[in-house]
Amino acid sequence: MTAYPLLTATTFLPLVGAALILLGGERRARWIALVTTLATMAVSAPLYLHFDKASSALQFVESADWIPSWNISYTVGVDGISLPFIFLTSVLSVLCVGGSWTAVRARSREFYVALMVAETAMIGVFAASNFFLFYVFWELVLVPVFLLIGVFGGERRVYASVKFLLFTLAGSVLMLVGMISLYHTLGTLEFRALALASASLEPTHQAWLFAAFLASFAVKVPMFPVHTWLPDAHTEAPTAGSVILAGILLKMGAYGFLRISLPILPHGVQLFVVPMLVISVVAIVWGAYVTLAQTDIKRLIAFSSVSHMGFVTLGIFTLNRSGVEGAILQMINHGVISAALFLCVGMIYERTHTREIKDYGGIAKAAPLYSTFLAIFVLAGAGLPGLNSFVGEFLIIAGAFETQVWLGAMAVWGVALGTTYLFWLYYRMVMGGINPGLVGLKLELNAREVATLAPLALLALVLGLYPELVLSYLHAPVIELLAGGVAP
Amino acid sequence: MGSAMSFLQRQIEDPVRLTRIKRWCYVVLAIAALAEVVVSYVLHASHSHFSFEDFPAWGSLYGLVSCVAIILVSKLLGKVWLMRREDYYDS
Amino acid sequence: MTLEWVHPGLLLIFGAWALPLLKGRLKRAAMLLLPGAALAICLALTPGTYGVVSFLGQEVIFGRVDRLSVVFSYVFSLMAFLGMVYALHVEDDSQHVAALTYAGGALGVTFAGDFLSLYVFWELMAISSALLVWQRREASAVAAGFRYLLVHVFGGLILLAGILIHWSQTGSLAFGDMGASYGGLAWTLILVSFLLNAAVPPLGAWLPDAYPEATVTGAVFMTAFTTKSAVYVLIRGYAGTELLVWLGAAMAVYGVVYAVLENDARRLLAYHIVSQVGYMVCGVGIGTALAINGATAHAFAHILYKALLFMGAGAVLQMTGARKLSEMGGLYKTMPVTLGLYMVGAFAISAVPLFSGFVSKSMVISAAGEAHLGPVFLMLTLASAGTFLHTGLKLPYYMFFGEDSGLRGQEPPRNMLVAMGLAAVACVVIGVFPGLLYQLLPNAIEYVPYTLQHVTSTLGMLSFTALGFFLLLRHLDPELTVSLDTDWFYRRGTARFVNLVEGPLARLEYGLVGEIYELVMRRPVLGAAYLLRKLDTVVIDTAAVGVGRSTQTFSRILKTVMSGHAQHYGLIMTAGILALLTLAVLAS
Repeated sequence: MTAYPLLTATTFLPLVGAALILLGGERRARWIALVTTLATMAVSAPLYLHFDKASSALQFVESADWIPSWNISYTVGVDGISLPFIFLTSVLSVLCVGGSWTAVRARSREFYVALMVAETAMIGVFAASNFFLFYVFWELVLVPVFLLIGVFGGERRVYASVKFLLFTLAGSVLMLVGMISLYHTLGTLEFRALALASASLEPTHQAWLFAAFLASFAVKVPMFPVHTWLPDAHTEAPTAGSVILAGILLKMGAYGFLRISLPILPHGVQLFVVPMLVISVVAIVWGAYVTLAQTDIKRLIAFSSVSHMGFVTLGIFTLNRSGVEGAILQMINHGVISAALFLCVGMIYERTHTREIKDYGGIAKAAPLYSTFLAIFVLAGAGLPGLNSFVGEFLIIAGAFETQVWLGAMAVWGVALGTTYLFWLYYRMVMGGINPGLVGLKLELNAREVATLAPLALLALVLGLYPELVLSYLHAPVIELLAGGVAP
Repeated sequence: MGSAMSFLQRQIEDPVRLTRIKRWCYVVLAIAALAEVVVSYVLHASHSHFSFEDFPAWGSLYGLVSCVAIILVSKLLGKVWLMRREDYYDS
Repeated sequence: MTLEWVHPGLLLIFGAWALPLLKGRLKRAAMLLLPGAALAICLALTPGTYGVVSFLGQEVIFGRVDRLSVVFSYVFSLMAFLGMVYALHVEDDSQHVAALTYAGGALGVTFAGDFLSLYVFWELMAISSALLVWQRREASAVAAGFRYLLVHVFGGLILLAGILIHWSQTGSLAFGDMGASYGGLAWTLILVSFLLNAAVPPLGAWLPDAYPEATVTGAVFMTAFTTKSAVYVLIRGYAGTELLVWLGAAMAVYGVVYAVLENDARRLLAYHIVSQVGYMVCGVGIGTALAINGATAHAFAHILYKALLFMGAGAVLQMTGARKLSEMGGLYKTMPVTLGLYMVGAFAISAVPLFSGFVSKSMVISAAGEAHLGPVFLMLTLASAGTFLHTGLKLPYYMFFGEDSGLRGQEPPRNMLVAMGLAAVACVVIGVFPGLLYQLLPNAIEYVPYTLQHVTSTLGMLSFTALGFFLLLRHLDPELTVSLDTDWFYRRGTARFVNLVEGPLARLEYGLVGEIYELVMRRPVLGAAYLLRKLDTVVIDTAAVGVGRSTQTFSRILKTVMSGHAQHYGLIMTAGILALLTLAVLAS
C-alpha cells in the first residue's frame, strides 16, 4: 500500500489541473494541461509496477463513506481488466494535448478544461468499483465531450453533439433504472458483491436488466444499429475529441459488458448471446462495407471503428478465454491505432483544411515521414503480424471459430475488408502523383507532431511483439470472469 | 567476341550460307529420329513405362505433334476468346 | 529461447534494414555479404529443431532443419546472392531492402515448424514483394502492385482462417503433413492459400500480371521465392494429394498455351513459371520418393535458370527500354553475351541434355511414368515441347534474331553479366554433374538421368519441336494484345462491386437507419423542446397582464435554458440528471 490514495490521486489530478487552467491565462492553458497529463501518467506508474498479476481481486482499493444511509460508498479499485484502460486513457490524454497544441487557438482555456474533466471522468469509470460511482463518472464524461464537439468541432458540430447526447442519454436513463432495480433487489451496489450475489437474481429479472444495460452499452460501443451517432460525432469533433471518443469512450461500452453484464447477469447473457454475436458480425461486415464507400477521411476512420468494435463485442460474447482476452487486448490496440489515425488526419487537416480523399494524393514525396507513420498505422490496423492488431484479431477469430465456424469466417471476411479499405485509403492519399491542390504546402511533420505520433507507433510495435505485456494482466481476471457461471 | 559475332552475322545474313545451314539442320533432324530408332530396336536399350513410347522415333514424333498442337490450339483460343486490345483494362 | 544458431532469414531481414545506413563500397560489400553469410549459415546447419519460442501458450518453432528444408534454404540463399550481384548497380536502396526482406521471409517460411511463424513470414513476403512491384514507380506498376498485394493479403487471410480452424480442431499449431485432416475445412483453406501462392490456375493470374511490372532487378527476385516457398510448403504438408497431380499437369499445359499468345517478353516468361511450377506441383501430388525428389530438384534448378532468363530479358529491357517482342529483333549483333547466357537458361528450361533442367524435369516425368499415369506423362511431355518452343525458340528468335527492328542495345553493366554468368555456370554444372544436386535431395533414391533412351528421345523431341516452329513461324508473329486470364474477375469485377457499395448500401445506411433516428429521436425530442419554448412565450404573454416582474424574470431564465447554446444544454442536462437521481434515491 502506498502512503497516499494512489488511485484517487490518479483520477482527480486532471481535475486539479482543470482548476489551475481556469485560474491561469489563455496562453498557459495548454502548458498546464501538458504538465497535468504527464503528471497523471507519472503518478499512475506505481499502479502498474506494483500490480499483482496472479490475483484476480481488486487492488489498490480506496474506500470512503459517502452516503452511508443508502449503503453507498466511494470505493475505487482496479483489477487486471481495468488497469490497461487506465494506462490507455492517461497516454491518450497526453497525446491529445500534443495533437491540439496549435489547432485550438480560441477559447483554449475551456478546451483544455474540458479535456481534463474528461480525463478524470474516464479514469473514474475504469477505477470505480461500485455501480453508483461508475454511473456518476459515466454521465460525467458526457458533459466535457459534448462541449468539445459542440463548441470546438466542425461545421455540423451542433447536430453531431446533440445527436451524440441524445443517443447516449437515452441509454443511460435505462441504465439508471436498471441500477436502481439492482439496488432494490440486492441491497448493494458494489460490483464484487453484486457478482457474488447474482445467483439470487431471477433469470427473467436478469434478462430485463441485461436489456436495460444493453441499451446503454450498445450505444456507447456502438453496436449496430444504434451506431449512427458515431460517424457524425467523430467527424465533427476536433482532433482531441475524436481521439478521446474513438480511443476511450467506445471502450467504456464494452467495458460495461465486462464489468457489469457478464459477472452479474450470467442468465441474461446466456439468453442474449446469439443476438449479440449476430449483431457483432453484422457490425463487422456492414461497418466495413460502408467504410469502403466513404469519401471523407475522418468519416472513413470513424466507420471503421464500428467494424472494429464489432470484433470486440464478438470476442466478448464468444464467452471463451481466447475471445475475451483477445477482445480486451483488441480494445487497447484499437485505442492506439484509431487515436493514431485520427491524429494523423488532424495533422494533415491543419495544413490542407480538407478531409476529402479526392483532395489528396501523392504526399509520399512531399511528406515521407508522415507517410511512414501513416504506413505503420495502416499496416497495424490491417492486422500485419508483428504489429498490435494481429494478435488481438487472431485471438478473437480463434475464439469465434471455437464457438461457430461461420462466425469466424465472417470475422476473417471483416479483416479482409478492413485491409482493403485501409490499403485503398493509403493508396489514394499517399501514392501516385501529387495532387495539384497540395503543391506548395508544407506537408511534412514538425518535431512536436513526430513526438506525438512516435509513442503510438512504438506501442503498436511493442504490443505486436510482446502482447503478453497486456495479456499478462488479463489471465487471472478473465478466468474468474468466465468461471462465474457465464461460460457455456 | 567481335569476330565471333561477325562470323555469326555473315552466316545468317548471307543467303547462300543460310541455305547451307538449313540443309545441315535437316540432316540433324534425320539423325535424331534415326538415333531413337537405333536405340530402341537395335540396341534394345529402352525401358518404357508406356506402350506408346515404343512407337519408332516416338520422341521426335511427339515433339512435332506437340509443337503444332500447342501453336494451333493456342492461337485458336486466342482468336476466339482470350485476346483483346492492349488497352482493354484501362477504363 | 536459446541462441545456439542464427536464423539466416532474420539475418537477411534485419541486415536489409541496416543497408540504407551504409554508403558506397561498404554498402555494396554488405549487399553481397549478407546473402553470402546466410548461405554459409545454411551450409553449416545440422538437422534438428531450433529457435523454439513460447507465444500465446503455443510452441512457435523458427528453425525446423531437416533435409527438405535445408536444400530449399541453399537455393534460396544462393538466389539471394545472385540477385544481389545482379542488382549491385541499383541506386535505389528501398529495392535492396525489399528484396532482402523478401528473401529472408522465404527462408523464414522454409524453416518454420509451426503455422504461426509460417503465417508471419508469409505475410512479410507478400508485402515486401509488393514493394518490389511498386518500386518501378510507373502508373501501371503501382496499379499492378496494388492488385498483387490485395490478392496475396486475401490469400493470407484464407491461410489464417485455415490455421485458426485447424487450431481449434486439433489444439496444435504444428505444421506437418496434413493428410490426417484430408478433405476438412481447414485442410481445404490452407491448401487453397498454398495453391494461390504457387500460382496454380485459376488462382494464379496475379503472377503474369505483376511480374512484368516489377523493376528489372526486382522481378528476378520475385521469380524465385513466392512460388517455390509455396512448393516447399506443399511438399511438407500435402505430399501425395492426388488432386495436385491433375492440377499440376493442367498447370504445365496452361502456362504454355498462354505463353503462345504473349507479346511482352517478361510476361511470357512469367507464364512459363506457371508451367514449370506445374511440374513441381504434379510431383508433389504423385508423392512417391522419386516424385518428391523430382519436385525438389526441379525447384532447385528452376530457381537458377528462371532467374537467368529473367536476368536476360531484364537486361534487354534495361538497355533498350523495349519489353514487347513486336518491338525487338536483331539484337544479337549488339548484345551477343546476353544472348549467349540467355540461351544457356533457355536450354536449361527446355531440358536439353547437359543442362540442369534435363536432370530435374526428367525425374518428375519418370515418376509419372512409374506411377503409370499415362495422360499426365503425355501432358508433361507436351509442356516440355511447348517450353522449348517459347523460351528456347520463339523468345530468342524475336528478341535477338528475326526481323531487324533497328533496335540497338549494348551489353548490360558488368555486375549483371557476372550474375548471369554465375547462374549459367550453375545450370551447366548441375546438368553435367547431377550427383551434386541429387545428394542434397530429401529421399535417398538412385536415379540415372543419362540413359541412352532418355537422351535420344529428348533430343528427338527438341529437334522436331524446332522443326514445327520454323514451319509455323509466320503464325507466331507477336500481336499487340492482352490475354484474358482469371484476373479479369477482380479487375473488371471490382468495378461492379464498388458500384454496389457506393450505391445501394450507402443509401441503406443513411436512408433507412438515419431515417429511423430522425423519426424516433431527433424530431420528438427537439420537437418537444420547441413546444416547450412556445409554451413559455405564451406564459409570458398571459403573465404580463396579471403577474409581476418575477414571472418575467423567471421566463427569461427559462428562455436562456432553451437558448440553443450548447454549454447551457450541458449544464441543464447535468442538473436534470442529478435531480432525477436524487428523486429516484429518495423514492426508494
